[in-house]
Amino acid sequence: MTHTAWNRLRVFLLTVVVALAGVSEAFAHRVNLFAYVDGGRIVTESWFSKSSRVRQGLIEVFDAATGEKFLSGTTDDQGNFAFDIPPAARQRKADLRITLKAGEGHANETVVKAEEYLNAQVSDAPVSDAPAPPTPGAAPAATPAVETVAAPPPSPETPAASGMPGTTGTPIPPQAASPAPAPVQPDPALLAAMDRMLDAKLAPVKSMLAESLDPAPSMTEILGGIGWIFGLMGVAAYFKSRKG
Amino acid sequence: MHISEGVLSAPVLGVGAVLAAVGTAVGLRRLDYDRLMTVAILSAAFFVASLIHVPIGPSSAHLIMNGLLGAILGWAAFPAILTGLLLQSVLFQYGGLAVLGVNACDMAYPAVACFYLFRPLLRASGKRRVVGAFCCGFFSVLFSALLTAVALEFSDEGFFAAARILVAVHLPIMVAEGLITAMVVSYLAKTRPELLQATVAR
Repeated sequence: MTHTAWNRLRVFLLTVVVALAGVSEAFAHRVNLFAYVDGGRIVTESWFSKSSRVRQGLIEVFDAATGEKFLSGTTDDQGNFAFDIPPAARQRKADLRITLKAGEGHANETVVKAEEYLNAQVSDAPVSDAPAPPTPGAAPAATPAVETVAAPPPSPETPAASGMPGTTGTPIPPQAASPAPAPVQPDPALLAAMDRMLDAKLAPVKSMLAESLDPAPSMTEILGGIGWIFGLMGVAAYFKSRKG
Repeated sequence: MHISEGVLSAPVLGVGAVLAAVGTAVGLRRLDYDRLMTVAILSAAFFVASLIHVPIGPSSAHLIMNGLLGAILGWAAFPAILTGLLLQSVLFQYGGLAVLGVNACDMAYPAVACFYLFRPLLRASGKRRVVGAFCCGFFSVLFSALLTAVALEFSDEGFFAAARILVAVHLPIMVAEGLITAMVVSYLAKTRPELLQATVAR
């Protein structure tokens, strides 16, 4: 009888294994969500543990005060999802509540304060302030302007071999005040390079920050919990002994 | 298998809290003075078990040990599991206080159910008891996975999607807990038979 029961159990287990083959999802007791401001964007990273990232987790962004939803998206295979700061949020200086739903009851949320991204915007301002918004657009616009100013004077001398107008051209650069815009508006290529360098330098710091948000239970907490259990047992024993 | 805060809707949380309160009340009534120490030790074991990860294949999940508590404690497993979960949520941030009721139901009712299901086997001796203990450990986790999926059914995740993944990931855990429960129960049966008799024989 036990033999047939065991056989039945085996068949049952086999069917379960076959039915579930191919499901490979890392599983843990909690999921972590880390969000930071990166230029005009907010980058979120989600992970269960160091080795398992949240794939296709649902990220939603809300106004922390009103609960209005700004946008939503899913994480990529690295658990990352980045989005542009919603203009509506920027307008009313709303704190952003970012929620993550990773499936099977795993969820987490974090808040990005308005000051964090508004400040980031201010530091970007010199770049995007003077000419319209984007830096790449601004750069070509500025250089032709200087050229057109420089071009008319030599124009009577026609095509003007680059060597010849050099003499007439020498006074022009100071007139065009070409040194003046240079400090105000640094070379975009240089800015981009600095950005990249900073990103590279800050990457370990960011990952350290992210990891510090994911504290593994320490020995103190574990022993403390066990102590609590025995303390509670003591209380229960006390009251039971008074009764009986 | 801790459900996080903010996943479930208020009605589900409410039902979970009520059911957990009922289970805890019954468990405390059935808990006699002599067994307090056993309950505390097993509660501590449950509390710590969630820190032990079993990495098998691409997945990794942690031990639960509710089957062991059910096999030895019967209804008294309920307050033990509730205490363990409470401390896990406060100290480790696993789960949360609002979902404590639902999580307690997901873990503790399967333990109690398995206790009644396999009591005839646990009461026997020799091989049959080992099989009963193994089944206790194995099916408690399985039922917990299914109950968790039921709770998730009422949020935006479907039952089958959640159940499929939950059960798949916990298969190694089921086997591991079956073996652990079988080992512990047969060891206790040899060295401290009175521990088992207190609930099993009743």
